[in-house]
Amino acid sequence: MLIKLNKISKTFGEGIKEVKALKNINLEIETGAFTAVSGPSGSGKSTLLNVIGLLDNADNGEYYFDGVKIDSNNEAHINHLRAFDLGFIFQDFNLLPVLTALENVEMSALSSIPNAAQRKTQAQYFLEQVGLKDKMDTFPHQLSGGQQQRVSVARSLMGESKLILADEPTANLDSENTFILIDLMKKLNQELGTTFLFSTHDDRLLDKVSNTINLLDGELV
Amino acid sequence: MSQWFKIAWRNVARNRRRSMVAIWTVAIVSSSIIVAHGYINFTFWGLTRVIVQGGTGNMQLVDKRMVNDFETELLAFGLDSKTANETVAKLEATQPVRRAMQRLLFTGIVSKDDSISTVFRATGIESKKEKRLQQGNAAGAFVKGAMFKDTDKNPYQAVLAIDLAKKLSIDVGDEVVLLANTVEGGINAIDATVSGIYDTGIPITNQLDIKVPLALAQQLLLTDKVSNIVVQLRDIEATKSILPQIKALVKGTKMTVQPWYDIKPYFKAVEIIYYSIFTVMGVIIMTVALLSVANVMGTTVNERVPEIGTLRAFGIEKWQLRLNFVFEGLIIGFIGAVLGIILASCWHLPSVKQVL
Amino acid sequence: MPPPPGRSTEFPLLILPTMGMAIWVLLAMSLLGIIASYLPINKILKKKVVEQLSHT
Repeated sequence: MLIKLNKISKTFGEGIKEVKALKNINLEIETGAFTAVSGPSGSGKSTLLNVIGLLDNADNGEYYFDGVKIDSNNEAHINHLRAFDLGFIFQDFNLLPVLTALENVEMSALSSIPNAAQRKTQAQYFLEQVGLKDKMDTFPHQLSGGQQQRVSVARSLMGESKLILADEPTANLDSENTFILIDLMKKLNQELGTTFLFSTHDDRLLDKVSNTINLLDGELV
Repeated sequence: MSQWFKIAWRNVARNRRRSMVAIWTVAIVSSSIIVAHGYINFTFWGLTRVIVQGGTGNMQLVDKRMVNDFETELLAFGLDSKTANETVAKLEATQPVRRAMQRLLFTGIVSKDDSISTVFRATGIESKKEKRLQQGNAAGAFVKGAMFKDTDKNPYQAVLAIDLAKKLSIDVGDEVVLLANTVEGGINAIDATVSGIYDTGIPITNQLDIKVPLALAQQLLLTDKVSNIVVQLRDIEATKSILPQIKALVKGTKMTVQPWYDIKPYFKAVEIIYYSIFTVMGVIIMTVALLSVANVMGTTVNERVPEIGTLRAFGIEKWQLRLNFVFEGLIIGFIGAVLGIILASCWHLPSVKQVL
Repeated sequence: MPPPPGRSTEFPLLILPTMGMAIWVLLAMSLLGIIASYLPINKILKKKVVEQLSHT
């Protein structure tokens, strides 16, 4: 069991602006799963991923990562998990424009792989895995959207992350690149055993996943 | 560490126009500070020469009582010729001292042909040594004639300040009568030939000043005493460092040493005023530079907040991100300062060579 | 430059920059750059990661 959520709640705003983004979520995700979170916009998909990815805190409830309870005040532990065990793929790719593809991938493992040579070797390996062997020294603005997102997949894998979180990773991609990306993620999931959790409102992708979490108005349905 | 510097450098280069605004602001501020300081520095450099070469010397030896008391009788605190001659010999045997000169200061009345007369303030000098004291200085330059010569054979000579000469309608070669009190309280008069007319550089002294040979002064005042001994060093700037050595030399005697900046207290006043103005202006323009660079850095940081979030998501520590942005500020500040130094150097190349 | 008050002789305007001042300016401006960048980055780092990511 990699992820266990117990009565997780999250509310934004106060008074009449109050929005209950997550309501008493109980959830378990097995190691090695390839899971999609689906639901309409505003259903709480992003909030759920942010809480699991330790980018945001829940207001109530318990969260166990790999059997260890998360204390939102323990910044050092959270930072350690972000550096070693978690990987992220963003909707807008979020590559650093001043770094080449290879440097971008290397950068994410700055803490988890202290040895620079080792870091480079692994970054090259993962870029090969995502099919960008010949684009390593290219800057993000010289790459297509699909290529940029594949760089960010390689980046998320660095340091042998246990869980890769992807919030709408295909939202800025065309159909062709969407399927290339999902197939790539699926392949890496099977070959490396890395757990993937991604949100989408593209129902075509739901056939590709092992299990789906459906959210509506902050509740599991 | 190095990758943060690399990222910082690339970001500075990436936002070239914005970075250049900040860099040039720093450069202009830097060069202004250096030039303003250079101007103050020149003023003190010049003032030092005006004072030291203009007659004050690097330091002066006087009777100790001269510091706090007033002479009620003429030359009551004067140095007798034995003491003075021995001290001069000792001083001139000291390596850092170029020369030591005895002087006798007195006042009196000067007249020409018994027709016009006016007050004067005279200095009896050792002309052979004093001629060289004022070299390379516009103040004290002769406008007509020259310094008196061969005073051993003929001490009855004088040089007059320009306005005093004008007042008396005196030209080079004319005779004047110098009238003064003797140390015993009587009155004495001596004829002298005017060998030169000079400009002191200061209007008030141009109306009063006379220089005569030391021998004439002593003869007029019926004394063998001198008022003080003026010390000129080989290195004009070395006053402070050589002062203890000269102090040690006169230890145990009735004399004391006064450096030129204590004799001319206005120098210190000017120094305080200049540095106060410089500090206030410096703080103001530094603040302008700080705000300008902070504005640029604020824009840069704001633009890259998602980037910061991304790096945080990958476990990059806060201090590493701080380092990254601090490097950017450092690069802008450093390059700006280097440019500023180059700009300041272009201001006046010959003088830069002198000091830099 | 014209004669200063109380003097009758003109004087030349020269600038004598010193190495000491150049070094001082170099250090001061580097420090200024550090302060100018430290203030904004420190402000942003106080935000939560999710807020940083959604910043526009």
